[in-house]
Amino acid sequence: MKHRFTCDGQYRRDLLGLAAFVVIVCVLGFTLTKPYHLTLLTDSGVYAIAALGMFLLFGLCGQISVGQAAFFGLGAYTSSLLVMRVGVPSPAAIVAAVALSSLAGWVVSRPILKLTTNYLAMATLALGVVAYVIFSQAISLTGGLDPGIFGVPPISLFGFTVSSPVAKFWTVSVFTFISLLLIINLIHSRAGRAFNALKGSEIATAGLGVDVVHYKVIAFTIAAGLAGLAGALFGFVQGSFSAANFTVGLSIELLVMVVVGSLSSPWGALFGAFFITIVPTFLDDFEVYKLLLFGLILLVVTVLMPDGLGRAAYDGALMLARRLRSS
Amino acid sequence: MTDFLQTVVSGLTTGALYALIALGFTIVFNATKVTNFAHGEFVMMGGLISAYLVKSAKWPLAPAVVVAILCVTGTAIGLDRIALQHAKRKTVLTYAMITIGASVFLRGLMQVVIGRSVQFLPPFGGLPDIKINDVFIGSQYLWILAAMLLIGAALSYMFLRTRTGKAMRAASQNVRSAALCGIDPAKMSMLAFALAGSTGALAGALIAPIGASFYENGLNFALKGFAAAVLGGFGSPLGAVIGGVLIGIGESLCAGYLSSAYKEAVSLSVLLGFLLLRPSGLIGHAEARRV
Repeated sequence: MKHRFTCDGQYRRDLLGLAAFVVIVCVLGFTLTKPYHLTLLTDSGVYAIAALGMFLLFGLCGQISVGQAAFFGLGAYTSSLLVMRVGVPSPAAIVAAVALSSLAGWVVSRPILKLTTNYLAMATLALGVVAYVIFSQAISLTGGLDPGIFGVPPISLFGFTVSSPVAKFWTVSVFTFISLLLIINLIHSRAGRAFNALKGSEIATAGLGVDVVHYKVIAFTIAAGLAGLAGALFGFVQGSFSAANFTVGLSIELLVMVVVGSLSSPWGALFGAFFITIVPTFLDDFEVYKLLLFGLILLVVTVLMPDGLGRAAYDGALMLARRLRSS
Repeated sequence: MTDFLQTVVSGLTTGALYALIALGFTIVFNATKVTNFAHGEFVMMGGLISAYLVKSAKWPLAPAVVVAILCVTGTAIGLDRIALQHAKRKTVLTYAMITIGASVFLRGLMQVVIGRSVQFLPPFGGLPDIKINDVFIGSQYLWILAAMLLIGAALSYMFLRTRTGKAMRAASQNVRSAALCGIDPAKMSMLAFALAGSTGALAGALIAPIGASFYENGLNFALKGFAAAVLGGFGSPLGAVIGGVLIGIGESLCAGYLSSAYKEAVSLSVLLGFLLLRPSGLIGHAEARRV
């Protein structure tokens, strides 16, 4: 196994990366004026949060989930319904959404993480389908597929209302920053080292005295919570959504984001989310070619670059640099 | 009583289809230990391509189905030869990811090539509708039952009695020692994918006249087939047949006596329940793993 996560130098580099993230967000926030660009970046920020959870689960721990859309949807419905039907203030609704999705993740993970690889993938897939069926059938609560939920009021905090594209961008960026901070600190902790070890071999890790089940449950719960946070923000940013937003397709997209980014660095999830959100805007009729393209990306990357596209590009660049230096 | 019998019989016929799909999972798993997440897509393609050839290209039924089966068999071999055999890292997780990627890719391919419209295939005909004491079995269902019995028996015979079948199972147990015994694991893997592709495509063509063919159907087929395979004990052809039939009957009874809205939940809850409580299935045996 690689020991990238354990050395202090890597931690320092990740913190520098966080600083760079803040600078980039500030520069973009103050310079971009077109609502279109801001909206794209906001959307990628929302997906990046869910993708960070996916990175923790799949990239770091090697536990596959093809059902993250369930928690994403749960977060979106929880926060929107709390604000609209119960009149809870939006920050509290976001907290409640994260808490509920984490709880759901925790409850589900206890039995489900006894399974590995193939069986885990199929079970999470079934979970995602069950959640989608509930979202689309419990019409009195969720509005089903049509009309779904509409007219979600914008987030309001200390008297400010987050309704303009710029305000949404700042808000989502703050949440993305917090999620990144959480993940980076987690990676460089005892838990992070346990995660990395159990990806290598669960049996060997258990042999070293690590409570494998405990750490897998932690990873699954945090991933579900982050998906729930992303879902809650998604609801507020979009203003309207329906069960059609939370299909297995979304779970696959989150998986693609991590695979396109990197399976060994949280920055990959950020890049992957950005990439998957931006690419569609370059193609006309993208909807038709979406599955074909995403499937091709998944295929090529998993066959040829098992550590992710971002990682392969990084390694390639390093090798090129070394070759240039030696020649 | 007639109602009950009719419900069971129609469950039996749907179950035969699930069994046929489950057999596809079983073949690939028995030869390679890979769980082929793209198998539902093979079934979907079998139905969609034959329906498209008949309806849009005005082909007669028989050649359309044959061509569809050939196309899907080719796709299955391609998935094995091009993708799985070239995987840089040969772990179960990587294989699972590759077949998930392939399933998304094939769904997208069908969407682009054939389009998002729903296609209908006319019934096969040839066999009569049967009616005994008011219990009705349509001729298309007879086709499905016959195909399931024939293919199930042939596969059981192959895996248990023939040299090729034994070689396939050996290759999945341990690739290296199988190779030392003169078995070519790559060839076995290709053969398994070809078999799974053709039976999957046939299952798809058989169900197409009953349900509509649509590029998004694959996921549903995969979940049902996988649930059937898990229920019976993964890897056993007989178990796949029993599992498929049980799930079909369960769904039918649920739709008849409880609510058709929860019909879909039957296979999913069976899948989750068995995975969590008894992963070796009804007739399977627990597998111990050495480190």
